[in-house]
Amino acid sequence: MMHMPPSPRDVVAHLTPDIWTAVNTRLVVKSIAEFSHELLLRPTLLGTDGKWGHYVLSTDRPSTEYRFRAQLLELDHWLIDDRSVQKSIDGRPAPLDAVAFIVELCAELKIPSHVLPGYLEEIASTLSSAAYKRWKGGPTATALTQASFQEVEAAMTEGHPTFVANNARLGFNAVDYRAYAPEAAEPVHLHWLAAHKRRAEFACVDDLTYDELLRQELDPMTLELFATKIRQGGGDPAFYVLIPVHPWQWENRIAQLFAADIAGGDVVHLGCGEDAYQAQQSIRTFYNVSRPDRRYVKTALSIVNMGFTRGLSASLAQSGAAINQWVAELVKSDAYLRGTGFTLLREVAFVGYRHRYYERANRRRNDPHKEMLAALWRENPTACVGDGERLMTMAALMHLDHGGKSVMKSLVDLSGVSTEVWVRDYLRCYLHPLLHCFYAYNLVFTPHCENVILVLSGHRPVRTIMKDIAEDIGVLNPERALPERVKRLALRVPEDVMTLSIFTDSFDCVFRFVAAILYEHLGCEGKDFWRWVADSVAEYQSAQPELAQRFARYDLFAPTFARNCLNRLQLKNNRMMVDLEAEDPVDSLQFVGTLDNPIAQWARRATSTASGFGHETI
Amino acid sequence: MKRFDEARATDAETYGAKNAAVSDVYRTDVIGLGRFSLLPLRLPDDIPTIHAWVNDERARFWGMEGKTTDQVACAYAEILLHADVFLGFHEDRAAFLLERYSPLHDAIGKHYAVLPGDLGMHVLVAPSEQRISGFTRGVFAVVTEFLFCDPTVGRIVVEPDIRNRKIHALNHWVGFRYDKVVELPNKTAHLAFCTRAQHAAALRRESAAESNGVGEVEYAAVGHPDRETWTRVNAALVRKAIAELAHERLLIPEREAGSGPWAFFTLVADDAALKYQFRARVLSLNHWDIHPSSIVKTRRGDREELDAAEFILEFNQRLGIDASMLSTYLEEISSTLYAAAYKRARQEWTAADLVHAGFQEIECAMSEGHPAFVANGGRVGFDAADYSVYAPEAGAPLRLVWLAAHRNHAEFNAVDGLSYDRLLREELGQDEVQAFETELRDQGVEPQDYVLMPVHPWQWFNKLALTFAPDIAARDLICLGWGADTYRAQQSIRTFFNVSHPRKRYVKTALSVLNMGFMRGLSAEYMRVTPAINQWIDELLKADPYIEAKRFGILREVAAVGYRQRHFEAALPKGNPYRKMLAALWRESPVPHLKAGEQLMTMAALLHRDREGRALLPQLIAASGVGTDLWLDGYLDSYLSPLVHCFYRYDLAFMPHGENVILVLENDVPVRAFLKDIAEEAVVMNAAAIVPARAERLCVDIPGSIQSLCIFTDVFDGIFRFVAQILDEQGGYPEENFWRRVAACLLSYQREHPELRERFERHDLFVPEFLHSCLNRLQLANNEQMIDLTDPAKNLQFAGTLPNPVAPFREMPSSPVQGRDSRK
Repeated sequence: MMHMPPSPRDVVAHLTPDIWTAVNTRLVVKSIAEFSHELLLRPTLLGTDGKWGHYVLSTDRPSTEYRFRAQLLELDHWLIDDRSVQKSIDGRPAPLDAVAFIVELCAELKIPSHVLPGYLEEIASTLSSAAYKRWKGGPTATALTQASFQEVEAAMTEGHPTFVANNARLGFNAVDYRAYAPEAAEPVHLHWLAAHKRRAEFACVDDLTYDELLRQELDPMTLELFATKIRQGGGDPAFYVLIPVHPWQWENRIAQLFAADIAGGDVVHLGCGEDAYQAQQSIRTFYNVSRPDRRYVKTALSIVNMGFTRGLSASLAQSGAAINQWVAELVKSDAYLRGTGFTLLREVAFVGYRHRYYERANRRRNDPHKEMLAALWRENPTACVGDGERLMTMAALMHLDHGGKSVMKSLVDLSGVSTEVWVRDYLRCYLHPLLHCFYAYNLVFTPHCENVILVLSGHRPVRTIMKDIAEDIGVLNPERALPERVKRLALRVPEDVMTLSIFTDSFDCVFRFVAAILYEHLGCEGKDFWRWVADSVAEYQSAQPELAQRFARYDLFAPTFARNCLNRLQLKNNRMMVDLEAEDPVDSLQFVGTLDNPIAQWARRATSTASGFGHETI
Repeated sequence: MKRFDEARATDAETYGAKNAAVSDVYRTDVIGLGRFSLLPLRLPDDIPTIHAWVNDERARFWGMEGKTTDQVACAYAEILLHADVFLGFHEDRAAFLLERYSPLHDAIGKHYAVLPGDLGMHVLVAPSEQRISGFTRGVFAVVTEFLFCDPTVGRIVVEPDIRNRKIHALNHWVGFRYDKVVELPNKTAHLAFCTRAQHAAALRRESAAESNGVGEVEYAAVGHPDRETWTRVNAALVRKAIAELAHERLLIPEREAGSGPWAFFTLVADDAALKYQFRARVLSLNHWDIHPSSIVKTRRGDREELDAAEFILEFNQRLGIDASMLSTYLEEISSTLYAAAYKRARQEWTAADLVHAGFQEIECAMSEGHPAFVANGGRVGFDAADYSVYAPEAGAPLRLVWLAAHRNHAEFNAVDGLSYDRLLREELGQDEVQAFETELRDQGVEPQDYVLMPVHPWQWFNKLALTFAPDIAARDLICLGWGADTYRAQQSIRTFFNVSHPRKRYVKTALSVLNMGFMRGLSAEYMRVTPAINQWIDELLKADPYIEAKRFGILREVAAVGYRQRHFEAALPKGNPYRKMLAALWRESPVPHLKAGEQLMTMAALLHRDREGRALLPQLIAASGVGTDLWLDGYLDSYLSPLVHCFYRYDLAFMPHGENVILVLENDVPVRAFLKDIAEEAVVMNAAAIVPARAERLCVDIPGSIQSLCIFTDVFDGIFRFVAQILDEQGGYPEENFWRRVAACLLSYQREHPELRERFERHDLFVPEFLHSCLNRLQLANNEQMIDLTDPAKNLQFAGTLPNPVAPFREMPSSPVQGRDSRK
């Protein structure tokens, strides 16, 4: 009953000068590194000092420049020494300020004037979020190796490794932030609505029914209470489906914009559920902390974060369950994949409510106004954890604690095996299933860190679990017609773009950072890491001789591949960075030149190395 | 059970009661705070305790300061004759005092109509060394729950001293709604009520807030519109949409049948199967008076419900809202409906009640918003909880957040003679200024390097705390917390009236929500010159004998402060909404300017209708007893004459819409008017006019041919069109009589100012027709940035011309004017 109103001062308690200096330094370093990686900025080399190069970066303003030392690793990865970065204005030192950095370089960064203010707001929010995490503190890298699945989830600080403005959550206010941001790790009670079937659609996989789902996800008393509330409003529960809703969404979108539906009895607000949930890194996916055996819930949340409004399309209910079922069966029936232990977290049930006005106001399927009221239930990985196994988001591999210590290093140390053995384990768990899905089925996931759950045993990776299926997977240029109900998965892309599903998503967005951490924290040279990657690819390929033709056609040992620039997308349009409904979505991607493929040099020796390596690890 | 006995024993021991048999009447556990119980007050045993409490400095509003033990004992002996008094315990400690009484037998009962089931309450919380977070709230929750345990109690009444700010916040929190200010024998007090439903809603809100870990979430208080309310507000908005869009000739209804003024019309949607049919008449200025219950929507003959958002979709081929804007426009429509439903559910005042309501009661009873804009109630950015806390129609008292802004980026300006120190002393009081300055010193900065400024709580939590994080971290902005005074939002949303001290100034703050086509920011650039512009106009008007005779005046924006965010200033062009996120101004209150017998009323009230559709204006005229002619003459002379004079004499135009004008009434007749919203809206329509350098922004080049639109569009079309309809419809006063009165006012003015004859001819207000400038067309074309404020003439949307309703009276003999003169 007692809860004080928000204190205006408390919500900015984390904005102290010391913390601010630290987070600005980090974000300026990341901005220089990632924008240079995307060739938006071109620092000038002044001289070298051993491995380090000394660089100067001039800005749109002749008086302002940045100097720093850096090493250029594989894939044009800029490893910048944080402490070396110095900004000067008219020759005098100036403090590092990430918002000012964007302002000073907005012409170079080609940010359109209508995007600029929103992008600056996103940078400020990202800084604020980083400051909050630092202020709140968090477990050390060592502690994280022992922490629970959800403790690790909440301790992640970096967000997406390549996006500079990756933590904006435009739409959250300062109170919302502390209630709903994953890093705040506050328990969240979802609201439940009953939605009339004339506008709401529910679908689930074949091994589940609506009634079973509800019985598994809600207590009998809650279900009875909800049914009573529907009856009190004059409705018959049989004509309604239940939808869990994010509290923010209810207050900010549903209560007002669905007022017609509420007044007409098509939507009935039932109140909060009993269970406490914890927001996952992706913000709108929730883990049930009251009942860890229950499923994840993913809800629509119409805030802008990293290039999109994070709604959930009501139309997913039409195809989501079928897609999950199809993919899960595919994975399960493939002997090779079974052997890797690779599994999916199926999204087993979907519910969506079609808005009476916005469905007609706009022909775009993914218009944010059509993605305001929908939810899905995803399988919980805790059920498939064996004895001695632990779960950990793959994002932990890139995580540095507040003292700058690496979780990956702690894991390797504790595992008792060499870095090489550990990394080869990891690659087998993560990369092999991706390669097989791609080569055998043209099936691609979005295998970034927060979508992958590592299963560890003795602190070594033993297998991976993939999530985010219905919205994020695709079948590139399918050679056989897909079944009708999953037709939506077919993506027509130019032939030469196909391998980017590995090159961009895994090499550039995951391995590039893993390599940097291995180099900085585990003293592992880049060429070693990339050789292990090459070996891993070769190992997979030699195990699948019948796909040899495809390996040649989609050559992962090609000398170069297209440089696919993610920040450029967001800088161009921070609210919808990729038009998923364009005639050709690839068209809206930003390719700028090429990157040298770090495993190309092992192309010829691939087979022999792979077999040698195979002996070593068996 | 065991615990109960123990508790009683402990109470008795601690408290030294002689009669341990006295049992508590109520006990409850509060999560996080512990056990509370209530026992009847015992005389004389309890008096020493009470005596210590009432003499504590913090009990100054209890009114027993300085009394001896015997005097306190006598006072309670008397109080007990007509009230129940309880001593409240927290755990083992006596912690508060509760008086429960019947308002019927109390002074407060003379100030309102007491209902059966009303119960009065006084609560005194004991001073305590140990501060427990949320303790006082706990006491209030316990006490109100206890009082509502009695099923005959329907409503609790309180009358806190208006200066007792802490209590106001608590009362609001526990569900009280503030009604009006009353003069009681020993204090000036707010009268406030809490019904059983409000109380339940407030506590539900709290429990929801707790479970979600957020602060103020008021689901129940906002309520969800019920079907009937929703149907009605949709019907009303469809009616307005047809009327105003037909007025702007975006829609052309076809006349079907009928010979008199009233006829049946049909409007066919983009899909020809869909028809709207209704009964209407067309008044002057192409004003569509649609019979409220006559609208019938059919699809191939089958009747369908009226739905305002559907209506927009159905006609959008003609309305031409761009696909990129349509969803946002629909959001504004939804938000307008939501606001209308909220107002309708809360609208307790009838038109007749409002005639004698206070200035601020009328202000928050206004339900229509802008009379011409269809999507006028949208506050895109407010969530449901914000709505019940910040919307003017919620009438909720609220406090502002105060910031200290470093003078490197913040600038304070005021009219001559008003220093920063004096303003702060007058607005905050010496104590609060000192407290804020001490806080700044504690944080290691020098107060003189900073300017204190109030901000809207929404702006703080939603924008500044996030987007201005760099400034906060750099100590360029320091949050000082809540201010002490309680304010009430005015119709314009971001202007606040000080209800703690009605003579203090209004505060207007930046509020970055989207409403009626604009992001409602406030620009630091504008703030720089705001006081100078106000001062110049005020001096100009005060020196003018005609204006002085009309006693017309502006409410000066006397001081302003603007903060320039360095990144946005560097990166964004002038006028960008991001450069308008942190600024405030102080505007004079009209209250100190009132004479005995004068009453204030927003001019918007003249267009107001209550939930049954009854208009206030005819009731007001009836109450005045002077008849419509004389009443209108008083009104026109207060409002129109000064505007016409400013236009002809100085090329000076304002934005004289309903909420910007405050009428001063004497015996219910307007005798003069105050105009507000000066610096942002006033223009001198002559780029070559000589004004002081700081006021230069006022001067704008506007083509001579459209200058008179400042009267035609803003006054005739914007206000009088609706006044004429109301009088015709409900005042038994034909519209031509109204326009004749307007013409008489203009002619009388012209006669009194022969020296301006050339101007009258050049900008002839009796021309047969004038250009029809259309507001909805502007909003439909771009609902995020309707017009370019820096060039007001550039983006007007014209739709042909309108016949001038005063044109027929150009040659009118002077007799009607005599009527008004004779009244004087």
